[in-house]
Amino acid sequence: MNTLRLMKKEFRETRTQGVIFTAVIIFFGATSVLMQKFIPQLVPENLAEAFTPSLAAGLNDYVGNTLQIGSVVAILITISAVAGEREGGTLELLLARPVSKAQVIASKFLVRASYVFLGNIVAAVVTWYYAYYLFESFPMGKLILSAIAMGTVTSFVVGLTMIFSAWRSSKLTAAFWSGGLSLALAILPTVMSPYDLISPFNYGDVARRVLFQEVTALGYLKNIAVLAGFTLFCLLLAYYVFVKSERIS
Amino acid sequence: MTYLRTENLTKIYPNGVKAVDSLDLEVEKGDVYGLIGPNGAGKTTTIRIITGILAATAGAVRFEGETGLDLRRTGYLPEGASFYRFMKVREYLTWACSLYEVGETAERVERSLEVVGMKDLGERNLNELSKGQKQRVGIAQAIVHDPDILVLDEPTSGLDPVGKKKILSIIQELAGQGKTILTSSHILPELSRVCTSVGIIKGGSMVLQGPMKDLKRKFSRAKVEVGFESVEDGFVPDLRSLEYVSDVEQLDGEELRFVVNVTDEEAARTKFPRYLVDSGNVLTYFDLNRATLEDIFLETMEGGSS
Repeated sequence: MNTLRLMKKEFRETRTQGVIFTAVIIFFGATSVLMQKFIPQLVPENLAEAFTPSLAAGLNDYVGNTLQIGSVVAILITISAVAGEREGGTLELLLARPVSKAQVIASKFLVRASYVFLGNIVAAVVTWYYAYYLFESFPMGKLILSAIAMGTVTSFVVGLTMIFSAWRSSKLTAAFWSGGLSLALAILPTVMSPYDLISPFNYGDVARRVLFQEVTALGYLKNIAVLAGFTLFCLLLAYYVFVKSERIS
Repeated sequence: MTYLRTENLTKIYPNGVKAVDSLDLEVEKGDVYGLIGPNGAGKTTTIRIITGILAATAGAVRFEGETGLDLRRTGYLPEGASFYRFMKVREYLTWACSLYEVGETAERVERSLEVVGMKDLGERNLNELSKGQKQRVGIAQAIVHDPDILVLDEPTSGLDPVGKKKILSIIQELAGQGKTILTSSHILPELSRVCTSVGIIKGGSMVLQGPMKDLKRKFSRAKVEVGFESVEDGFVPDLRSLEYVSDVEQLDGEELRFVVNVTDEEAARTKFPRYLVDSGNVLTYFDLNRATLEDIFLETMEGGSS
């Protein structure tokens, strides 16, 4: 029950961040389809012929933009999780309550993950709306499955950032470490193929493939399961770091 | 069985600093125990280990014989406590109380607000409070679940005299309700007003502890300032020869006023006034200053151990 009470506090504290996350995801992700439709009218006439708006290209942009921007915003809303309590001087009192460190980590993660999933689902609905009115009807189910996959990838980023937030006293240094590692994990597979298997972002491509029927149901679930495993690993590491850390402020 | 005790408590930080060194502390039920020591003596680290915020490198904390303090029965106020700025006072106390799962949350919140005299400020945002008001909220959140033991780290730190007086009177009221209180400070007159027991900590080790009355007896000395209308010749040497007088000093510029150091407070209250009256000199002034916690502390610090 105390995990729920901690979550209640966390929701209260970060609700603005949740709204910002959703707004950013909608703005940069869901409007990709809208942008795709109107790019020929936005660029000079001599370039306009080079663009042939299509729903497929719009959806491709939607997944790419949502994952990239979503990951950045996920880092920003998570760095304050534990480091913010340290900076604000509230961690000492929290640790003296009858709550475990596991509950603290779990509540902070669950709240942020819920923002991530909720934001992605809302963005999927907005995308469906634009697709229907600007191009053609597109199955909502596929968009939801894609949103769930993107939510899982972004939740991994939340979990990864939790490690550094639990480790550092400053939000800025937590952001630096998490941003740097996320970038490395995203870039590494593109330059060194053996690292494909250890890059969560690589598995996140299932969010795009599910839209274009390039993945089976089992393949989809496997990718989601691998991503969830990466996230769980991050959370266990964050918990370990939090337990070992002696930083109070 | 001792209510709360630490056994050989030791804390070495990762940078190698030994903040607490084989510390044995004993708090009896109903005590108001003052942990005193100079800055950097290890008071806060000790308190953080007791409350489970930090892990000890060695040693143990026992509460009613069990390992570790029962946090559900503990109220804690850290030094310079900070609260969630986005919450209102009443909302914060309600949330804090709910974590202890004790029920009757609304009633408990109102009761704690009443104890600290903040009923009117319940709907105020926590970031709008003065330092003194925040400290009172700190006490309120520590008592909201009606704990058996309160741990207060420097509860009057940084407060103005009015704020200090208010906090000390709250502590006295809580002590009157039978709460066991462990508090730390380096401001001794404050602690001597409220404590029934003290522990003096130096360099992370306990150098002296016990009930205040025992320590005062142990450090049973007094300074008595006396004044006379006139004194007979040889009076001062006679005073010096008394078995319970260690020294007699004449006050600067005052021919007939003296400060007499008495080694036994009991004698200073009983035998000494009688001696002065019987001596035939006309006594015009008598002021007895008992050994204070500050005297005990300073002597212990200078001596190194009891």
